[in-house]
Amino acid sequence: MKTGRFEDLTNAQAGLAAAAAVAVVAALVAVFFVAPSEATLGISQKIFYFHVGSAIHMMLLFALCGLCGLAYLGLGGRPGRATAIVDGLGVATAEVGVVLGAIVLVTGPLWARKAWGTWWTWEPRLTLSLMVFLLFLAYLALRAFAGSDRFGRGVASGLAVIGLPALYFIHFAVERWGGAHPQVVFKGGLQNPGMRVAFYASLAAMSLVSATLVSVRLRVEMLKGQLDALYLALDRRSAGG
Amino acid sequence: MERWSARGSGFKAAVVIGCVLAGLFLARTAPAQAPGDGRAAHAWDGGWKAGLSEEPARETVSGEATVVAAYAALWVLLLLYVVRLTMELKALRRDTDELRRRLDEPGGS
Repeated sequence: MKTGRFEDLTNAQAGLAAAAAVAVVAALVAVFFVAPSEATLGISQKIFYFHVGSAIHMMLLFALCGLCGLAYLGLGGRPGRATAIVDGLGVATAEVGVVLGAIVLVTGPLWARKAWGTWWTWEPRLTLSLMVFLLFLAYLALRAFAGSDRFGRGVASGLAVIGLPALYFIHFAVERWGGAHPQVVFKGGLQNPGMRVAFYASLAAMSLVSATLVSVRLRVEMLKGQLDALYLALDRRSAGG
Repeated sequence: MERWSARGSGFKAAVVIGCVLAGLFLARTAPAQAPGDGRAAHAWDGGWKAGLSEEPARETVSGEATVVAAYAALWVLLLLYVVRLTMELKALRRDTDELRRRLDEPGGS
């Protein structure tokens, strides 16, 4: 349901944004006042909570973008509401994913310097994450240059589909090739209840933040489509009269 | 509740800046437990493979400064993106309003 002017946030989006703000504050309190400092790394380990939350959502959004690319190619890019939604969702998830990727690539080295003694190392998960980040940056650039061109959008969708297997390898990189990243979250780590609370609170907060940003970005994309339609209507009217 | 979109830019900027400052404040005032604290001991059992460099890390930057820098970067990046989205929405609203007005004019173009 819309709140008034069609450009405004819908009630659902406003509610989502409010929930995200509350969740972020709750997560920050959990991270800094509930979770204890880790014995070896000290306070710098607190970067972990939002760093991992951002990384997980970056991967989920890129995966969703890849699936949207598959759907777009499956629909053949034919004009229609389904194609517009799939295409818009692809752009929205890629863009928010790139923002989260930038957060991961900034907070990661800051933590790595304290934990590993180096800003960057070419270990499998880091390298693959950087590659996938650059891949979806290229997707956004290609998509921006393509405009409303069907072929260009198809090529961009193909690029997003290429990212899907890379996401699989990022997830299993530590198990298959080792590397510096620890297997903490799903392998019996985070045994302290306070740390678990902080981790899941930050994960929930990043879920709500990501959902809000994607929904607003999707709205922007839909409005761009409406603007194109209005320009066409105006052109037809000018030509006719 | 008044709509968020109906609020002024100054109010929105104040809310966002307040969130950033609150995050920074929380980061700086967080209680720092000493290593070996009963609560913290063995809490992290994820199998570290630390010590990638041959020598131990030079402690040129404190842990607190690192945390503040990381959280500041996080919120600044998100803030910049939200500002960009807001500006894009405003520009689209202006353009669509203008086009609709021109289309509604009788015989106008």
